[in-house]
Amino acid sequence: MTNDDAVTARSDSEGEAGRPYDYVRRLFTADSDRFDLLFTASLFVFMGYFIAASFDLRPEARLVPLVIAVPTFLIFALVLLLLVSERASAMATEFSDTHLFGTGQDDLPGGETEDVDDETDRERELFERRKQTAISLTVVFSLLVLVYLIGFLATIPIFLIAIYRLHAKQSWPVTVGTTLLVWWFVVIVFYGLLGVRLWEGVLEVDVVQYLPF
Amino acid sequence: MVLSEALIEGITFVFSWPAIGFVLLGTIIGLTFGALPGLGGTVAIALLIPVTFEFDGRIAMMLLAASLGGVAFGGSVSAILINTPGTGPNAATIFDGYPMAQQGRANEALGISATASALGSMFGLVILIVAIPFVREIILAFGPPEFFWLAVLGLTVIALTAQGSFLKGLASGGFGLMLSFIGFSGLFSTTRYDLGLDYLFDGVPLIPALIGLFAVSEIIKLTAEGGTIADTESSERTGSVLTGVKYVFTHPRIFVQSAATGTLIGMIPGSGGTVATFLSYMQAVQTSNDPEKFGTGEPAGVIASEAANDAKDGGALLPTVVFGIPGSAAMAVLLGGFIFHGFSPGRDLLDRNLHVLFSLIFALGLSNIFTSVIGISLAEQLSKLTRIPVKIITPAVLVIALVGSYSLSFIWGDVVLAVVLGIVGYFMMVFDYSRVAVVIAIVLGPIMERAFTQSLQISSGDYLVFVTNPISLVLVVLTILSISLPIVRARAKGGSA
Repeated sequence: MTNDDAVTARSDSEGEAGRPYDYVRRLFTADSDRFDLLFTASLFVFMGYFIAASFDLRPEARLVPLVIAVPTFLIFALVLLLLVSERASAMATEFSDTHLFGTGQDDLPGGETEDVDDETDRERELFERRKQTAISLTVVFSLLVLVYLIGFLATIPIFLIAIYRLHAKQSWPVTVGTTLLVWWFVVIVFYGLLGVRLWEGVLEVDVVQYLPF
Repeated sequence: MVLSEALIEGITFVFSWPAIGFVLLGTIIGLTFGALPGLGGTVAIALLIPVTFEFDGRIAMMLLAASLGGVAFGGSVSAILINTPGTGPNAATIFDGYPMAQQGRANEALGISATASALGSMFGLVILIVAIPFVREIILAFGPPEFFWLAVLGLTVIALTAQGSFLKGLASGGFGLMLSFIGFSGLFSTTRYDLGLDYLFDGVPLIPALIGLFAVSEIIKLTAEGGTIADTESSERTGSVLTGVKYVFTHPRIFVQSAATGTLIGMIPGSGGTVATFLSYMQAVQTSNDPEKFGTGEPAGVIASEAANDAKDGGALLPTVVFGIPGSAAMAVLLGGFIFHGFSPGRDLLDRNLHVLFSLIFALGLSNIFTSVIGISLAEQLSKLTRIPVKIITPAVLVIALVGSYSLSFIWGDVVLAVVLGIVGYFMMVFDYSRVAVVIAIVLGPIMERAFTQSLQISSGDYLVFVTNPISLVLVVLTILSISLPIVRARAKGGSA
C-alpha cells in the first residue's frame, strides 16, 4: 500500500464515521432563515388547521374566528414568501427601508456574528451557540419526561443533581446545598403551606409518605 | 362604589396587618428578581401568580403589585454597581450610574436612584388616581360595540408597537386570538379547535400560558446563553447616600420632566419601559445646560432614567385597569393575575372593586418606599446575587415554574402546555414575533368575541350597530389610523429614499 492509498483509506473511514457528525454540524450551522422558515411554516399550518376546523362549526360560532384566522393565515403566508423569495424580500426592502415588512429575525442564538470576520470562526461560534440551545431544550424536555414518570418530588433532586454536576459542573457542596434548598422550598411552599398534592408521576412514586409532616 | 370611600378603604387596608407584610414580601421578591439580570418583573409575577391561588384576591394583587414595585430599583442596583442593567429599562441608568460608581460615588448614585424611583412612582400613581374619576365616567358610557372596537384597537396598537416586525407583530396577535378561541364556548354551546384533546375542553389556561411564554422561554434563553450573569467587578460603595437624596430634591425640574415623560409613555400600550427611560434620558441631555457631562457620571442622568422607569408603572396601570390593554409585558402578566383572581378590567375594577384597585395602587406606592429603604441598606448583598452563575439559577427557576403551572388546577396537561408554549415563546423571541401580543390576545380574545356577539344580539343582527355610536366611530378611526400610519410612514420613507 502506498502512502497515498493509506491517506485515502483513512479519509474514507473518517468520512464514514464523520457522517452523522457532519449532519449535525450542517444542521447547527444552517442559515437562520431556514429555522425562521420552519417556525413560521409551523404557525402557518397551525393557522390553516383553525380555518379548516372552522367549517365544522355553526356559522355564528365560526364568524369571529374566521375573521381573525384568514388574515393571520395570509400574513404568515406573506412572511413565508419574504423568507423564501429573495425577489419578494428585495421588493419589500425597496418598498420600505423600515422594519415594516422585515422578517427581522435575529438568529438562533448565534446571529450576532458581525464582529467575527473569519468564516470558520463564525461557523464555529454559531455551532457552539446552537449546541447550547439544543442542550437547553434537552434539559427542559428531560425535566418534563422525568416529572411525567416519577413526579415532582422525586424528580427535583435527581434532575437538579444531574444538571448541577454534569451540565453546570458545580462542586458537590453547591450541588447538594442548592438541590436541598429548592426541594425544601417546593415542599414547604407548595405542599406544606398551599396544600398542593403534587403530581406523583405515572409510576406513582410517593415521596410524601416520607415527609415529617 | 363611592370614590372617596374606596380610596380610604384602600389605604386603610394596605396599612393593616397582614396586608403590609405581603407588600414587604412582594417588595423583597421584586428587588431580588430585579437585581438578577434576565429575570425581571414579568418572570417574577408569572411565577408568583400560582403561589397566590389560595390567597384572598386583594392580598394577591397587592403582593403582585409590590413585586412589580421592587423590580425597577432592584435593576438599578446592578446597573450602578456592576454595569449590568437588571431589567431592560434600567439600561439607561448605566450611562451615568456606573461612571458615578467608578468615581467612588456609588452610594450617591444609589441615593439618587432610590429617591427618584420612589418619588417617580408616587408621581405616576398620583396621576393615575387623579385620572380615575374621569376615565370612570368614560368607561361607564361604553357598551358592547365600544368594547369590541376597544379590544380591536388594543390588539392593533400592541401588535404594531411591540418589538419586532410589523407583520410578525400582527401575526402574533392573530395567533394569540386563535388560541383564545380554543375550547368550549358558552356563547355558542360548542367546543372549538380542541385538536381532539380533552385537556383543551376548557381552553388554553392563562396562567400556564403566561408561565410558558415568559418564564420558561426566558429560562431556555438564559441556559442557552450560559455564563455568569455579571462579569464586572462590583464597584466599591463609597460616597454619601444623603448627597444623592438631596440632589433629587434640589433638581425638581429634571425630576418632574422625567416622571411626566415616564407616566405618559407608560400609558401608551406596548411602548414598554425601555422606551420611557431612553426617551427621558435623551430629553434630559437635550434640555441640559451641560449636555457633554452626560455619560460621564452626571447625576441628572440617573434621575432621568430612574424617575421615568418608576413613573411609567402608574401610567401603564391606567390602560390596563381601565381598558384591559396593558402598557407593558409586566402589566400583561399582572392583568393575567387580575383575571385569575376574578377581577375584570373596566367597569368591575372601576366601580364594584374600586377599593381593590386603590389597595393595589397604594401597595405599589408603598413597595417603592420599602424598596428604596431596603435597597440602599442591602445594595451590596443584592449585587452579590448577580455573581451566581446562570447555570445554578435557571434549573431551580425552571423547576419552580413547572411546579407552579401544575399547582393551579392539578392537571398534568398544564405542565406540558407551559413547556410547549415556553419553547414556542423562545422561538418567538429568536425570530422576532411578539410574545406580549400573544398574551394580550389570549386575554382580549374572549372579551372581543363576547362584545361582538352581544352587539349583534342587541341590534338583532344589524352590523351598523358597530359604527352608529360616536365613541365607536372614534375607535374605528383610531384603529384604521394605527394600522395605516406605519404603512404610510414606510411609503413616505421609501419614496424619499
